[in-house]
Amino acid sequence: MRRLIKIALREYLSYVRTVGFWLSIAGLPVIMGIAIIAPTLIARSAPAPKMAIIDLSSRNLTPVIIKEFERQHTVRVAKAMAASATAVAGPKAGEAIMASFDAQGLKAAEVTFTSLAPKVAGAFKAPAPEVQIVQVPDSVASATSAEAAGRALKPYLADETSHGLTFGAIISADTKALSVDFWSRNIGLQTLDDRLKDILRDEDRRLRLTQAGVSDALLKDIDTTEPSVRLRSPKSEGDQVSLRDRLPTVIGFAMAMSLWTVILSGAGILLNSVVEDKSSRVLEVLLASASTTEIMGGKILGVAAVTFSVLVIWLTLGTAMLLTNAPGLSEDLVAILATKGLAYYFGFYLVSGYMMYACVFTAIGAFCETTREAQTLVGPMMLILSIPMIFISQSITQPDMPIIKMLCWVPPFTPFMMMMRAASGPTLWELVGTGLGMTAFVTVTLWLSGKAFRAGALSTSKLSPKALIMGIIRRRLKPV
Amino acid sequence: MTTALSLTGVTKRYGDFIAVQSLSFGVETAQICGFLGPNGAGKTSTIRMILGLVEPTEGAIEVLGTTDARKVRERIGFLPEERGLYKRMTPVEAITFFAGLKGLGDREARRRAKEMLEEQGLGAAMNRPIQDLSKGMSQKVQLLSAIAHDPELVILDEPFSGLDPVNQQSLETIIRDLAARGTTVLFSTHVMQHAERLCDRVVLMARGSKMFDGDLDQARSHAPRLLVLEGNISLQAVQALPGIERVEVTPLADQDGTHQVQLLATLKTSANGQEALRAAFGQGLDLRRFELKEPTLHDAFIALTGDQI
Repeated sequence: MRRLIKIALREYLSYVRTVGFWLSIAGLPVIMGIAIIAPTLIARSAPAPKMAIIDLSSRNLTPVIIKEFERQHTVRVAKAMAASATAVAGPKAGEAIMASFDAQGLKAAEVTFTSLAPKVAGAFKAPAPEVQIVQVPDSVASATSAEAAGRALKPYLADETSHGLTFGAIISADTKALSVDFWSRNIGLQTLDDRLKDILRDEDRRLRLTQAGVSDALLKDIDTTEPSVRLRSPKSEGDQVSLRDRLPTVIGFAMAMSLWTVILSGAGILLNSVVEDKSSRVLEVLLASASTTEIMGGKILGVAAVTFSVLVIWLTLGTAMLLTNAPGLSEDLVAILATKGLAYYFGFYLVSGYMMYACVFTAIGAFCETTREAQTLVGPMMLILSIPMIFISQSITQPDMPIIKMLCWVPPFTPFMMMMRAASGPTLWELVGTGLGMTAFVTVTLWLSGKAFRAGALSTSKLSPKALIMGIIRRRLKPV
Repeated sequence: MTTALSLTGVTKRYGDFIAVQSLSFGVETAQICGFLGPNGAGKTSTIRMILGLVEPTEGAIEVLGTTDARKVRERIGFLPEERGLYKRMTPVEAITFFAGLKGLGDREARRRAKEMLEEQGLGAAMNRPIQDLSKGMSQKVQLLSAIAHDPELVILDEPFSGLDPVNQQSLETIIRDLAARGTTVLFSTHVMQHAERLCDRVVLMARGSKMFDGDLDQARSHAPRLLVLEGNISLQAVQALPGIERVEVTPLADQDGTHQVQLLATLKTSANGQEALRAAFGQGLDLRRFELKEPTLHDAFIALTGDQI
């Protein structure tokens, strides 16, 4: 045990003392921070696109369109307020703001926002309008046909200065339907043509119903009395399915992804470490000083400590960021992690999953003289290991799918798939059964890897799958 | 004298290939034993079996009183044929780490590491990464790592390979010092000169089998002694000298109009070179050179195995 600890400590220090280790520690939060901030930065750096509406339909549609875009903007503002309030005061605050908005509009939502999250409400910046509808240039406005208006519009779309237009919508009407020529400065830009189509379709319907004798009051009443849809589930804690009910699945997904990343990173580090020791002949010296179990165990423990350190540092940073920027969510997160037992599942699957892959990768490393050799064998393994990733991303909406349940019983996939399933409340039988299956598999893997490691550590031949298998089975060494 | 190491009828097979066959020998405590043979003779396989890294197919090995060397790892020091050190470690860290694995406390290991490095003239390099050291310096660090815990048995696999003459000399001194302190040393080599200078006894290996086991004089006695004669002499005259078994002739450049040759005469096992010398003078042979060449370990190896190293 003393030797195992010494080897583990050396392994740990050899990584922790490198500059690369600390760069990688700092790198992920920085990249994640950039990924989070980037959309906001992009949105703020670009002014709202300008759109001109050239209405040739004689139906005075421009005010209708402006009004609808304004309404949609107020929804976006309300949602932004709800998101800010959720972060600091929890999901219920966000739901209250949306309820106020639905019932009494944006002013009421602002009041609720200010009362529930006064600090963020004070500093709140509403998102910029999605589009700025501007006056039609005279030369375009004087056009009498869609073709002529299009010709007149082109120069304004080509002008990329602040005076230029991003979009131009030429609306014309034949005897029956409205038609729109939606011009855009760039083909790649996200256009608003579908939105415009919806607005015009609603307006056309309103007009026709009015012409058919339906009163304005009745139409308004129909529009305001939208069907009320409540999402319910027996797994929901409250009356309706709330964000808090959905959080466990999201957290389970995040944890499964983290598990995969952490385990595979750790196993990868181990592989490189063993290959390095093998190629530099340190492994033979170690074998004369300690048992195979002590060397393997020490290496696995040392790299586990490296991985654990990374995890702890990232978790600490993440918790600090969460408490600073979204204290309202932290309470719910802690509650979910504790009540649903996700933290315990994570611990169990982290240890067992890491043991399983660490042993296999260590044994492979013992047969390889170079990283290239190691990659040759690990490559196909990584393809197999990508299978859980494919299904995890699919299972976020349906974690109880039969295929997902089935994959939980495949021991190499169990840690990741069960971590994903854990949030949706798997049966006790499923938990115990898959756990036992995986434990048995880990035990066999440990045993076989120990033999393979011993055989590989002293072998001098080039790696081949046959050598690996024969080494495991016969535990014979090449003559030197 | 107690036996530090003994092998009895040890055989190692890898499938159909026999790496070591029926090998038996013993090394007494505080002896320096040379384990000699060309590449592929089975030296490294034997060493791995002695260390318990590989199990023998047949036979028994006893190391420091136990049949499983893994139980006495901490009393053994091992230098493998291919050197291996953590390149980013400093010499002090490397010696401390490996001595620590052998049971030495951290503080004591560090103290001893510094002391040994100073003694070996590596004081200035003790805190530099090993990757910055010369090959000779690294090898010295590796050797110190193997002996820092003061082992009772030291096994060195080709310790001289890759070392320059100065470092070879220094290594020989270290090995002699180890034996003087009571440490048993077994080292493998294919360079016979080192063994001749250092060993109390030698084990000669070839093609997996032991060819000889004994002290240096016994080994050399297996090789023929030679007489080198040069001058204006005839083959027949030399063949007629007492104790001569056979003669090889090499012509030399003529001097002063006389025909000069060199004759390499092999003496019979029981023969005395002095008798041949007396007879040569008695017969008035025209000799410029008469030299009795004692056989080397290399000659003994060739005589015993018929192989060149």
